[in-house]
Amino acid sequence: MASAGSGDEKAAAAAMITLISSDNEKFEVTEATATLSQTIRHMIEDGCTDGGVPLPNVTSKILARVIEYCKKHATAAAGEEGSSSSFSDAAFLEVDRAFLEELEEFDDAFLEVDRATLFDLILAANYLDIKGLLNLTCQKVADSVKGKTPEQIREMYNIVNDLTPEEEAEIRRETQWAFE
Amino acid sequence: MAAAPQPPPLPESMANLPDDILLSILSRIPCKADRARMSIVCKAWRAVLVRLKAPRPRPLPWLLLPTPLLGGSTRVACALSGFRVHHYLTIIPLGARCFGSHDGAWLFLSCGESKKRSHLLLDARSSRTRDLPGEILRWNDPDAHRMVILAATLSSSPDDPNCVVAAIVAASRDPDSAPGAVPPFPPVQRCAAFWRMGWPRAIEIPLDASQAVPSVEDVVYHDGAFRFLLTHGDHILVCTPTMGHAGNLMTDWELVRFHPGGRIYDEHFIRARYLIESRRGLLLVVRFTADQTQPWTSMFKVFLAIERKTTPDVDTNADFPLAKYPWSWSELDTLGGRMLFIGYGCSRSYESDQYPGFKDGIYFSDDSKFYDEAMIFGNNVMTYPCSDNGKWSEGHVERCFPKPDPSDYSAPVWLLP
Repeated sequence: MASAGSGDEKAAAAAMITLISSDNEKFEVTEATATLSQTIRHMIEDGCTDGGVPLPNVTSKILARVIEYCKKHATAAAGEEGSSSSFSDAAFLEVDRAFLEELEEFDDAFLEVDRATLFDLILAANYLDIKGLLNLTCQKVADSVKGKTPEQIREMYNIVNDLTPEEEAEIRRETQWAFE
Repeated sequence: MAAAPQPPPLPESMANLPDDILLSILSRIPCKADRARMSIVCKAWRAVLVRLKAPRPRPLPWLLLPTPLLGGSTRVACALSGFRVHHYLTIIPLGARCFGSHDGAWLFLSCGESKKRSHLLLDARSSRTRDLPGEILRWNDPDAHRMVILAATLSSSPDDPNCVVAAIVAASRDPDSAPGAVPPFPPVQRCAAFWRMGWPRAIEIPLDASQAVPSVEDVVYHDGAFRFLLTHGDHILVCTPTMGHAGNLMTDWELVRFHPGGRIYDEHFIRARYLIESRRGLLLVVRFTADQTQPWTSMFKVFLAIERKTTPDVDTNADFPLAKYPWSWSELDTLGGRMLFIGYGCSRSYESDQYPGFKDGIYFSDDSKFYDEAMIFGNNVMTYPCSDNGKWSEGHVERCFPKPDPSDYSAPVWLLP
């Protein structure tokens, strides 16, 4: 970990924030990366980040992943100037599209995790209030369920069906057309 | 050093996630069928769904994909559920041609051939039906003509006693009615028509006679009136139905001329045009192909109907004096938060922000044979390729719907649930 720097490094050091995971690991990140989290942004605004930001709800393993996401998207946010996909300006669209595609590829690769990690990322994104990451991870869970049969969902999530045959029949009756 | 804090308990199942997160996940599973399937996974999931009562947005249209087999079931692809085939519908009568839909799962159907042809509206949920006419009264001929409905739209629910239907039809004089006489009409002619629900015959609406080949391409009910899109000039024929005290139906019609916009159709070929009501305004959606010999949709342009505020002092174009063309189509740069589902007579606009995980886009289906009157009228077996379905979003065409099969009785159509 960096200690006190010389005078001319001070400006750069001032823009760094130290995050401390539940297992006491320290991560030094830029303010731009850290403030993707609304929770941390508010702590910075309140001036209570000296000596690091303890995050007792986030393990080092998950925090490392969250920081990876924030670094990438902080860069993206800096390059994104009121991006809206216009369909008349082709040149603008090309640049915009390449950039968005790269970000989408990153997100897809980022979400290649096991179920427990995905749930941990959701909880961390919720606690740290990182809207983009929360949307991304919730969408991943939603997509895993959409269009699946109850049997497929049970298998995917290791769920044992504890509904009695009577209960199951009743639910099926209520929503009959959905099972035809 | 202080003792390490206790790690938070891991959620063993989705059902153990906090409610606000569960609601966020459920908002991304907006389809009724998906929610129903989730509720049958286990007791915990059932309890979550019952307890949270997560709201669902207005359902998006389903794409009905006909099967190649006459007796087979129609596949129902759901945009809300990742375009997957959710379930199957058996549409009776088998082999009916579907030509559109109305909100409430009503389907427009045409069945039988030649003189035995009939048209009907079918409630795909309850199997209730409403009969639609098979004959039309032309404006300058006392004899009724046979009619095939190609596209139609309703002023209100078919259950409303004042429901009026407007349609684009192919009319054909019955060859047996006047033997030896020279028919005053071409064998088959496309025209605009309307009728009150329950009438045995449709009434023709005369198109703009000043056009060399008046033709009509789409119809929409918007702001209390039917609006027919004329192929030439993108003008609109407005047909306003009103009910008299005695319950008789009266109609007014008026041609609203649009000033040509210029520049819009370079390098691409127009494949189709649609009218659609969106945010209380009227949009014109133009569908293009890159190559006239290829059916594949390549891009779209969208225009908003705008009435000129004042009559300008100087007319810049002597051929189109602005005073006679009080409206214009103004091209939109973006869809601006809209999702458009386009289909003749049944296009609908939705707000993207009501559907988390969805982006602006235009959803289209293969209606390339919709207006092939000669084939529809004849007794020939006709092939509907059913292949050009997809979504246009961020400048790309995405073939997001399930792989289609060609059909010999119907094109794919939207069902408005």
